[in-house]
Amino acid sequence: MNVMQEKLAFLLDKYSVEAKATLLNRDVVAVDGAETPLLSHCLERRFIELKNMVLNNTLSGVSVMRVARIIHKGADINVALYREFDLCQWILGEIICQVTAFQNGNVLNVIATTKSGIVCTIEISATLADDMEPIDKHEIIAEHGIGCDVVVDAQLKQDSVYVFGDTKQKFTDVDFELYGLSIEDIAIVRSAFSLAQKKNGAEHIEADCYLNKLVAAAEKSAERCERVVL
Amino acid sequence: MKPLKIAMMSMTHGHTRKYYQVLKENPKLDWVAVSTANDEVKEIFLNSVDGIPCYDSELAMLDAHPEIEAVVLASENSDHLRQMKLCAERGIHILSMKIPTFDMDEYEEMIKIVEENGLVCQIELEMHYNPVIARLKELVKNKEIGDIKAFNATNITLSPVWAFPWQGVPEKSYGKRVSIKEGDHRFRGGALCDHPHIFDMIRHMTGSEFDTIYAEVAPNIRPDLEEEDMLSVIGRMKDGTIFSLDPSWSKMENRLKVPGPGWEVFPKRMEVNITLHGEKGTVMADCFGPNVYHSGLPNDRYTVQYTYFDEWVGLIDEFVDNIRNNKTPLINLKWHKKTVEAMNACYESIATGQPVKL
Repeated sequence: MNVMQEKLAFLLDKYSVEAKATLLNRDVVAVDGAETPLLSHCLERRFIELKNMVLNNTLSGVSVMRVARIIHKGADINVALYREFDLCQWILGEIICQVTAFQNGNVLNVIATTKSGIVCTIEISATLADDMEPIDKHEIIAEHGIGCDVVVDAQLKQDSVYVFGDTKQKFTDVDFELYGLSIEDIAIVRSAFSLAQKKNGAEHIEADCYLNKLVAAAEKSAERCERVVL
Repeated sequence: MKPLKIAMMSMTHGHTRKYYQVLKENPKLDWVAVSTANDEVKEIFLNSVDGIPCYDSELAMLDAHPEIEAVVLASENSDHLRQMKLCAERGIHILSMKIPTFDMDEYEEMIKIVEENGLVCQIELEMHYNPVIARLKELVKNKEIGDIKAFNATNITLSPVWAFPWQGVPEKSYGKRVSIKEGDHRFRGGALCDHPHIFDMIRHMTGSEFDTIYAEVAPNIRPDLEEEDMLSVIGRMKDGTIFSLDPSWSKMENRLKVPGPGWEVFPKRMEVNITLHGEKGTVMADCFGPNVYHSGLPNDRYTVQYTYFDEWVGLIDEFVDNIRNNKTPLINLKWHKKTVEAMNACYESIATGQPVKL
């Protein structure tokens, strides 16, 4: 957390942002004392580009968004679901208004529908060993084109650098200003910086509130075996 | 063993051409004749295969070749019952395409005909003869990831309707014209009807049956189709396993009359991926790969060139073995009935907007 706070301070200083921003944990930043949910996942570059594809009509006539995320055993699948609900809404620029879910312990499958009728399929599982990084895939299928964060005809993402020395290593570096941080840590710092710069914490608080309602709707749907309309 | 004298009917089904090579090369077979449903498919067949007598009518073929022992019904779904009756009258064994019928009364009639006439009727679900599936079945049997908790799979392709027009006609694909849901201009009979494999495979891998199904139809990516092309399915098996199935036509195609190079718009024309989550971990499998890639003719567009499509070799070997040794096919009418019922439940869920209990 210290390294991320240092990088955040560097950005605030470099871009002359006067607000005081303190990372309280990986999910919350205090901007001038006001605690705000970071929703940092949205600022991963892959998601920014997927959103741009929808926004600028590169993917025209979106029909379906398919999401799969596998996290480590013991992790909270509802936290993962919150994240993926947020990504679907943020990338598509639409609110989800219907949720149907089936859960079997640490695995969860959801179909959610946005206001315009785009269908989102979300598959979550907490089945990976502790030392493994999360595996995920986000795919948008449209009348004109498919956008995805995994290359065609592959099951897993590529990394930028592979080292085959005495030990195998791999690196994925995506931000020169924040060089050395992981993709997730970069997104946290960028999100905190953005909130300090734009002072749009109210939007995040509103989004967080609705996301919690969506997660609760999924829990209710899984429990009662029915579609829940918000 | 005496080669099995085999014929094909209609030649309108998308899988017709998959049989050309295996029927010619398999030493256990003697390919006797074909009958074609129309001039278009007749021309395609004559341009593709030499030396096999081709008839304009099924009856003419059957009358001219009383030696025929088995027939591949390479036809639209709406013709299957009629053709099964024709075969049964003559004691001819049947290899049916993947959907015998969606009408469960017709389905019962098919079972009765086959049983009363002592026929082998094998359903063409070729994924069972895929080596990746063989590996998955072995991993499941050995409980590599413990008991299965979720079965998530795609069976996604381009839409075949431009090359095989009957698949775009609800009466021929689904068997009748039924609105997909109130207020929607589309009808049953699209992508779902083309993709039973994953509905079948989950039953094999879990050893359990469908308990609850929820399906949602998405906006078509081909607005000019009158059937669904995008849908998502989730639910639960009786043993508690949950599932997520995607049987969509989500890969865009060029609208070719005859499938061939340049069919794809999206680089990959077809995908069957299966992810199993178990008590001890996860298995992810791509049933068709590794592949090679090119950006050559006819469209200079990046394209996935598949390296393996031999499922029909194993499928035909089993078919011959079933007939010669009087065995029941792995995928027989009775087994497959519950798969078709689950697919019908998807349509019911789409229509009602709620999960359907089976």
